[in-house]
Amino acid sequence: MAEHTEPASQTSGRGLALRRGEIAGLLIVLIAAAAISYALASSSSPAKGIYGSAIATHVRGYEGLAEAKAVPAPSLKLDNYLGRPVNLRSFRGKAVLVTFIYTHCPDTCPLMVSHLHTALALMTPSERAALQIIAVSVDPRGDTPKTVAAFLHNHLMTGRMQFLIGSRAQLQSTWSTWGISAGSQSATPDVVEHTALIYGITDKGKVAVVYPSNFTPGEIAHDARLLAAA
Amino acid sequence: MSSRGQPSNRRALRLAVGAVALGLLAYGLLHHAPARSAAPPLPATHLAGAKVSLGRLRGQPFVVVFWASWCLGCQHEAAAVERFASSAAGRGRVVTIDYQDGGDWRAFLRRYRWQLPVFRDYNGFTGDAYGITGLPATVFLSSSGKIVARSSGTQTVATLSRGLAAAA
Repeated sequence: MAEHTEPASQTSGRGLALRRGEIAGLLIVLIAAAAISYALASSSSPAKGIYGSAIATHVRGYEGLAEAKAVPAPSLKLDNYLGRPVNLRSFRGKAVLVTFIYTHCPDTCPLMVSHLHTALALMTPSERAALQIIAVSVDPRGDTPKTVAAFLHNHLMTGRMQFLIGSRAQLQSTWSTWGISAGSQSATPDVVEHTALIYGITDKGKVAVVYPSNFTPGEIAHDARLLAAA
Repeated sequence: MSSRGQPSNRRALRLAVGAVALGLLAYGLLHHAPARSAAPPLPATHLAGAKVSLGRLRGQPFVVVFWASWCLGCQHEAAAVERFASSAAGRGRVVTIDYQDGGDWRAFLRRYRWQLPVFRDYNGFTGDAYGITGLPATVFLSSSGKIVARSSGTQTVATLSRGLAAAA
């Protein structure tokens, strides 16, 4: 009988150790599941506001990522690809979308511009008239009057958006003011890594909303109405 | 008494934690995995090739290729798309959509000798409805007309064959 009887203290000690081990294992499974679930459910990395501020969805009715409080837009004065000066301030009274792209961009920029074209098609003529789209080059070498003209033509956006170009010094100053990073790796000098956001500016010249590059045309069409009458 | 209760408590705890873990995983998967949705209609504007409709294509899996004449990736895959569409596996099962293209689409069709059905999505409504995220984009549809898979980037005859087989 004694062979089959273990001291009570040993039994309870081993049982406790086992339970702790099991609980720890189960907790690890739980935490791992939560982490995987979060990673899968998170569609994109969060963007930041124009001055690195926090932005959130469903604020003041915007479908884009809205600034907690609309902030004055940075200055933007450059020539467009036709050589005419463009000043963001001159569009007060209209909604303005500002983005930073380049014409040889192989993936993100063409899709963003295509989606902007779709957004315009979703809007009425009066809504379109109350919106100005401005693209600023992130490639002073590759974005010339000729390449920009071809880019706008190919994307059915000639006359529908401003495309501002300039010298490297001029553009770098603008990128800096807007907090845009833009540059190439030495191995792929033709590919420009750049911030790919669209800033939504109200008719009063304030940045109210930000769109990551995977925005939908419907979001822009919806918010442009709010931006034009903020 | 306590030695009889402990195993059942442990079993219950294991079950509870397991259920919560499965629930969390299921939540993540459901929010991540694209649901099979019915394919939106093709654009109304027909440019070239046979004038097909989704209704006529139903009953067999097929491929919708979004492209534009200015798109380099589209130019790279154009010959493969035509080869696949002319093969036994792909004949009558490829539809293409010229997406928001202000370029010379006629020259593109001539250059790559496309005999495929070509539609024009001028405003991008069809591409938006199909959820494309870049060009070229390829969407594989099941025989019941549901979107089974989306693929961004250049296709080959092999990837088109595999995608269509998987959609069957």
